[in-house]
Amino acid sequence: MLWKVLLCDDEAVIVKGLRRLIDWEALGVEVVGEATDGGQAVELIGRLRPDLVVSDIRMPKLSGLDVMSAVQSAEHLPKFIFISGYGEFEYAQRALAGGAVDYLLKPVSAEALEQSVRRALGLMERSSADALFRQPSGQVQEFFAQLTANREFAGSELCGKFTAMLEGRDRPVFRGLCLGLYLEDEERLDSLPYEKQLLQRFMAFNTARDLLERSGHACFLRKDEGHCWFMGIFAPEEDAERIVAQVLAEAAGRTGHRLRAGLGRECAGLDELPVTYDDALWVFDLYYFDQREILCWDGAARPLRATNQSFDENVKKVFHSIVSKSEDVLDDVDRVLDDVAGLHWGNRMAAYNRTMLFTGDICQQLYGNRLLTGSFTQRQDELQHRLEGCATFAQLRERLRDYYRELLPDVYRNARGRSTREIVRVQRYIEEHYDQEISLKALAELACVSPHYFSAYFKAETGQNYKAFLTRVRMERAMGLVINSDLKTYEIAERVGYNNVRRFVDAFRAAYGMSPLDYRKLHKK
Amino acid sequence: MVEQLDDVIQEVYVAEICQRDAELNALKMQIQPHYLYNTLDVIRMSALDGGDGKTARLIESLSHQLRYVIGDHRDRVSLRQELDNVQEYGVLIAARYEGRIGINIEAADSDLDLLVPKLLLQPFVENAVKHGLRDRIEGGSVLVEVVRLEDALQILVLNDGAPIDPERLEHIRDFLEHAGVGEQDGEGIVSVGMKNTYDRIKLNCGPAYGFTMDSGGSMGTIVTIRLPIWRDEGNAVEGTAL
Repeated sequence: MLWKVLLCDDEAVIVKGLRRLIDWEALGVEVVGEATDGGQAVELIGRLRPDLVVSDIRMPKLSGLDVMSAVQSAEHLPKFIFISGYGEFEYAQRALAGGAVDYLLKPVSAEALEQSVRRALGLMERSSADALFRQPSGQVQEFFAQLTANREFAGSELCGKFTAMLEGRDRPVFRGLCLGLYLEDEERLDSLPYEKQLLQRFMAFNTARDLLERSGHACFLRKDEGHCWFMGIFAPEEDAERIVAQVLAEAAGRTGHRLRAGLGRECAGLDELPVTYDDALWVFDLYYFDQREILCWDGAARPLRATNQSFDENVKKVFHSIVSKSEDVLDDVDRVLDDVAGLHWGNRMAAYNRTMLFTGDICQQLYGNRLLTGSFTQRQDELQHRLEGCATFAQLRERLRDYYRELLPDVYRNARGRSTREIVRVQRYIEEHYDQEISLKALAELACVSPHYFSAYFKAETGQNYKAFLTRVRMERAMGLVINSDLKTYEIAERVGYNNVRRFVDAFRAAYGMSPLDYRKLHKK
Repeated sequence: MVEQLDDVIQEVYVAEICQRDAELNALKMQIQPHYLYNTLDVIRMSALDGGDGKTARLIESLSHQLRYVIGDHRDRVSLRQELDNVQEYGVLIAARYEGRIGINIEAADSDLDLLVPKLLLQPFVENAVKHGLRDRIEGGSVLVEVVRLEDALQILVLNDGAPIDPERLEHIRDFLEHAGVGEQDGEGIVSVGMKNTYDRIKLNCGPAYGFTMDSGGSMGTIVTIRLPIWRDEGNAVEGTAL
């Protein structure tokens, strides 16, 4: 069922123009008549019973307003939209007061008239994107609507431009495209005076935009501080990556500023535009891990090569390496970073956070064992400062290695300074209590370190295993007793803290090359 | 004493402007805009009737622009209105240069209600077209970008066309900075319109505001306009005009 509209204007040309201004049929409206004066208008309204009247306010015989009041008592009261020319503002106000749905100012634009008609007839209003796209609402309209949400001016043309570019393209392939400057170029620009910088940035991006749009390969979507987004439109057999590479090279040649790119996945359907648009930025940011000029979606997903378990193990290894003064500390750190990259490929924030966390944990443990002094928060702040500005993962790796390299002397210094006292204490204790059973726990307590750590610590400080030290002390005492007394072997064993004679004899032999009895025989003569 | 002299000069100049405004208004009255708009509308509708949507659109543009220039005597308009006018100008330029020259506008919706001096941007955009792009075969584009800063409203007019000759640029900068209010450029490089605009901003907005320009060596030109942040009725002035 079609709505009926009556067009009224004293100039026939205007009426004819109104007929062609919008697609009435598409709105479901039929132009049932035309009137060129007020009297005719009233008559036609009575006869044709239109649902809507679009009329000039000024007409001979009766004005538009008069027409409206004249038909108030009609059975089928139509809605009124008035068109007013220059200087008729008070008329327009009166029209609205009298019940008109809308008044439009000349020159009436197609969009304005359409919106007005829709509103009058209770039809759903279209967004400006729809109006230009001229297709049933769908995801595409939403996509453009979102893109242009807060940009009335930029947005109004966008959808139409995109559609126009699609004309005549047979089965196009869409790919989101994100462009940005290389870091070095960014930094170079930052050092320029303000206006020059703005201009150079504009030129850098605009040149690429120009090349892409003129060749019909991409439609500009939006931009922000450091990026520029496009929707690439390619023929199925075209090599998008190569085309983009050429554009980048050409643009760099002209402006002296180098851009790099991220290309989203290939889509055949318009409903996938949002997906490939999102891809573009994600893939562009992958540069952190993978320094290529053009990063493409297909190559971007990296299989997970690390597990949380291997990560945890490798972190523990780092701690032990530090504590035992191993030369492999930096290599162990590298292994952990390989795991981080594997676990968090593509996610710069996560990689950075993980790195901060594991280093923080290791430092905390070192603090716990008093191998580091000073403010922990200050250290973390310093680390954060060094790492967050990294442009690539490779750079983060370098800086982290530097960090550990600088950390080690602190650790060793603390270890050394303290250990003289503690180690001496432990050694003395062993020398005084060699004849008893000595527990690891007791020794660790003396040294003020955790039992878990004690053994590596003693070894690191003295170069010798604590058990070996104890044994040596015992053997020295045993030696004394062998030479200077007549005690039986089992008695000497007991005196020096062994409750197993066999083990004592083995130890003695290992230390001096012969059994205690033989030794006595040899030296007592 | 110098200040007083300055004040007198400003007063006289302002008075002159008012005088010219009055004369302009009188002229406007004589034009009978009603007749003008109606006639344009008839031409437009006739084009539509003849199936020529393109021409109809161009006439619509012209109509909008005329209305904007002739109608309404306020000297402050919303940014939206001012940009609308630039956009309509863009429609005509696109048609005139067969799509080789495009005018793009970037502005956040939240800034569109701020007030700016009326007809501020047109001369700059026109300049960009005339000097930067018109004579290039490949054409180019003009970008009008609005950025709200903390203490000012910044409007950039950039074009990627021919740069301004360094000597010329030097002369323009020098003249704008040192010439007195209402003075004319003897060498004819700085147009009366440009100087007027410069003076207008200084007088209406304050010495902290105005515009500067730079050119990019081998290409492009940028004009940076600084305006106070004016809201709504224009009485609540936010920028610190000294």
